[in-house]
Amino acid sequence: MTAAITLRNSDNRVKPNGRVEGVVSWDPARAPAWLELRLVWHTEGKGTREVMVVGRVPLTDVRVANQRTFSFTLPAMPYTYHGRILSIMWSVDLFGPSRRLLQREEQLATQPIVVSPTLQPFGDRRE
Amino acid sequence: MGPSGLDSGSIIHRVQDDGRTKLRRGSGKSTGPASCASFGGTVLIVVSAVAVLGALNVNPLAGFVVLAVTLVFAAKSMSALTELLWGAGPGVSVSRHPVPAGERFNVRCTFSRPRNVQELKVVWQGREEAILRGYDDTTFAEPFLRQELVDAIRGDVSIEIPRDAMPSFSGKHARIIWSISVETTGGGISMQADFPIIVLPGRS
Repeated sequence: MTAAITLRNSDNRVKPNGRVEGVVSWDPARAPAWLELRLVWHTEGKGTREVMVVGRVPLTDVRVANQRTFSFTLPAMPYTYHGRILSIMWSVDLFGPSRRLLQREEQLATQPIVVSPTLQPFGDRRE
Repeated sequence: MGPSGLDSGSIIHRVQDDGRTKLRRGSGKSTGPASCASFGGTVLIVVSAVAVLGALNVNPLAGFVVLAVTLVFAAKSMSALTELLWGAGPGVSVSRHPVPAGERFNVRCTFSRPRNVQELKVVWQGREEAILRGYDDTTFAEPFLRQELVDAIRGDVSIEIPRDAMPSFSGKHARIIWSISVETTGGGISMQADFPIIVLPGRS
């Protein structure tokens, strides 16, 4: 299935406590039984990957409609961070049922965002 | 810890009569005879407990619980004993806590057993910690800022947290930690004590 997430803020940079707004669109003819949009931060680098779902919007009537607007409110923390052994990344993800046997769901689309009071990532590897 | 992972100072710190906040000690480590004595003492206590439980013919489940409690108690008490014998008893107090990024605070170090200090290093540091969970957890730590506080022994030292500093963060497997680290060496023994400081998001 093809799906796309488009943010209202085209540079994908948002301040903490701000709002992430946009439109998610999909092909209703090939839509699965359910879709869910999530505001998520996750860690990358050394150590066990950590994923925190901060907000969820279950999408209904996905075989009738072909798009939907959404709005999430960000928390104060954490900021987007690119450090030496650790990164913290934010994104808006679209999930649906997985076609694989032992997997319940899979990511169908993602839109990375930068969450920072300066609108720039924090950390040593911020460039 | 909520979804934000914002470390807002959930640890209760003691505010002294002079308005300063005495920081709670976080992690610590020792090398040389101190760590050998600590490990050896713990092993000796646990082996003794096994022998006593064996002689008393205790139920295996009850024996396991007693051994686990003994192990924790022995490790803590031996660590405290070696710290008392060889440690300098460092303490750190700050003029304000927690501190927002971009603002200034004062640090003062005290030692309850200064005779045990031959070499001393007080370091203001920020570090990343990533924990690899498994049968045995492995913690990776990488400092991104390390600044030696040369005058911390003589009196107050002023520290300004950079405006673009990443605030303290505490996730399940990842942390951003700011701390005052006190490293002492004396009689061939090195001991290190860490005093975490909560750095809040800067005021806009």
